[in-house]
Amino acid sequence: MKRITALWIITGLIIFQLMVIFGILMRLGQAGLINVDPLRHFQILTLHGLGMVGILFPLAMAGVNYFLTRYVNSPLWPNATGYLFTVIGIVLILFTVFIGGLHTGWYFLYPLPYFARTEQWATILFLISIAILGTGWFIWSAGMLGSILKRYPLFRALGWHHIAGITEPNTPPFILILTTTLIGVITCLIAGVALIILWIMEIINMGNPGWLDPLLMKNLTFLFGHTLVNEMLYLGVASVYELFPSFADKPPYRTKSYVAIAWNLIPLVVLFAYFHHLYMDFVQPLTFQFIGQIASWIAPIPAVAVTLFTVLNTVYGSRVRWDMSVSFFFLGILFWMIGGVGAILDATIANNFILHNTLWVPAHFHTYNLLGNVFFTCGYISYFIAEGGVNSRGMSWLPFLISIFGFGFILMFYISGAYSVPRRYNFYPDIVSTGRLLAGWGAIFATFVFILFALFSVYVISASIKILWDRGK
Amino acid sequence: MIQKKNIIIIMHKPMPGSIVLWIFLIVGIIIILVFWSVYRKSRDGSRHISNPEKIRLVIFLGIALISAIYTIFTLPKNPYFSYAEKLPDKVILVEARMFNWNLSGPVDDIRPGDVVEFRVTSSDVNHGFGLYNPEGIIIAQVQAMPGYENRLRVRFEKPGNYTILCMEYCGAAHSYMSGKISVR
Repeated sequence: MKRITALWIITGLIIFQLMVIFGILMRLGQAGLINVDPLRHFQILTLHGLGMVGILFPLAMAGVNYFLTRYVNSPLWPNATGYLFTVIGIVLILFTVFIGGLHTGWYFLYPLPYFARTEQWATILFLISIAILGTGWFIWSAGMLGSILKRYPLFRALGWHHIAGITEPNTPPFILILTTTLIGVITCLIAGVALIILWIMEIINMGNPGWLDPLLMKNLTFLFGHTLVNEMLYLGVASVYELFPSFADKPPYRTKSYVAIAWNLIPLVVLFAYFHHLYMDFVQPLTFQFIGQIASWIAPIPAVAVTLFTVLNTVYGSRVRWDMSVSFFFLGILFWMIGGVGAILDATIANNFILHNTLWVPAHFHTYNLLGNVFFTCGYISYFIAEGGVNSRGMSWLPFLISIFGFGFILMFYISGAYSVPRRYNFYPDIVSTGRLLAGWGAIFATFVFILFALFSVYVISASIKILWDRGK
Repeated sequence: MIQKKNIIIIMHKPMPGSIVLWIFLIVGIIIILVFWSVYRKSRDGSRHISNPEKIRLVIFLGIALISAIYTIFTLPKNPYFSYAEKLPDKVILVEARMFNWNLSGPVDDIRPGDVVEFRVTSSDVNHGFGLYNPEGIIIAQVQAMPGYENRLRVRFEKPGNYTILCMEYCGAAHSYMSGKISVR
């Protein structure tokens, strides 16, 4: 398990850094500092979105899979299958984008691929590569869930006996959160399967394009995409519950009734939050619109009252060893919360009317992902290499510096969004020309973020290579 | 009826993005200060919160209350019912097509104060009809989806040149897909 985790870390960080470079190129192009052909810009955009989620999701999975060995006989071959399918999927996506010219964005919103200047084979290959990623992750999620259920019956893994007031045997919070998250992952992967099947049926039905309902396809696309990235974050949160008490020399957390209620509720509510992607489709049933806002607002309440408070209560007044790992986790939770504020403001219909598809959207999800999810991942990576004997106590300045420049990078998105600069533009017309200047600053901040992550990567990859080749253990 | 009047006032002037930005920054700074103060008390191991579960309950109820109040106030302020109680002064049909906006109806005859209904659709892929005021701030938007017609009502307050930009990625020339509406 150690070796495959090390392999994930090496592969994941290299692909992540490559995707950061693509991101910086886009911001430089938007600022007018370099000249990027529009077609090339949107190819990079597509690759950046797919590549980031395509590698950060399994990297988060690799972390929880590693910690799962503390409780159950953690699955190795589904993990290896996940690795193989992820690498093949990402290579195929690279191929479809740069050779096939695919530039539909991550969401290939029906019926865009038909009309975009993309080779037909590239669209088909693209669907295949998404199917490969989805299959690999499905096998992996099901494998992990299966190994949990071998040891804990479902009602115990979900902590239902705690909801009923029974305290023993206690379900570790890590198992509880991982179980509900994996069920959520499997649910949204099923939505992904439905989406791909419909696409394939449409392609077979080539003589009669326009056979599918664009509103249904849009709902499925966001049920799949939004839920997946949401669940990705909860994988990181599971690691927080697992590791945080040890950082402060406290006993492991125990699942209390409200923890069980919260973590049974969150993945369910999150399934309905995706409706906020369709606020500006006035033909969507009104009830869905209102459920979207209510679900988006309910989801963070347990996150704040349960997870945030628990972590702050653990740190407050304790003697914490502030090494790189705990710093990444602590700052990750901070930015998870800040990103949440940006998210629920946008998930309010009245605000969404002016913020929808402006740069406010990448602002909030970069806060979640770059400074939330990636920080959780870097946190467990630092912990992993520390277990391998590489101490990082003198390096807690690194997460802090990344936070400063990262927040600068993200703030440029927020300001742009508030001033109506639209997202997914390769060039900002005069009416929204403020976007150009802010893109320039965004690129500068992002470059510093890249350099700092490169330092981190060199540090942990060299340690991971040692673990990978250490056949004795 | 009173409620509908409120909707008119609010949607006529949507919450400016700059105010949303300030709310975000103020709440964000409060969160950073909370984390900072907790971090400062994390080195000597000398303190602990005496009754954490009580504080947790207060936080839970506080946030739930704020969320409930916010939802009750904001849910009615949505664009779906804007100016629903009256007939629009003008109706303009909008057909989005890569990479143009085809407007038909009294496009050159919009006066300040007119409530205009845009009936928005697309003849190819998904687009987004984003209406920018002369200062470059978005005042209203709706999606243009093939096979569907979204109706958006907007009151034009000030004379001037309003710009239409595409708000849903629609292909390589997405950033260049713009249109104009003159109000005079």
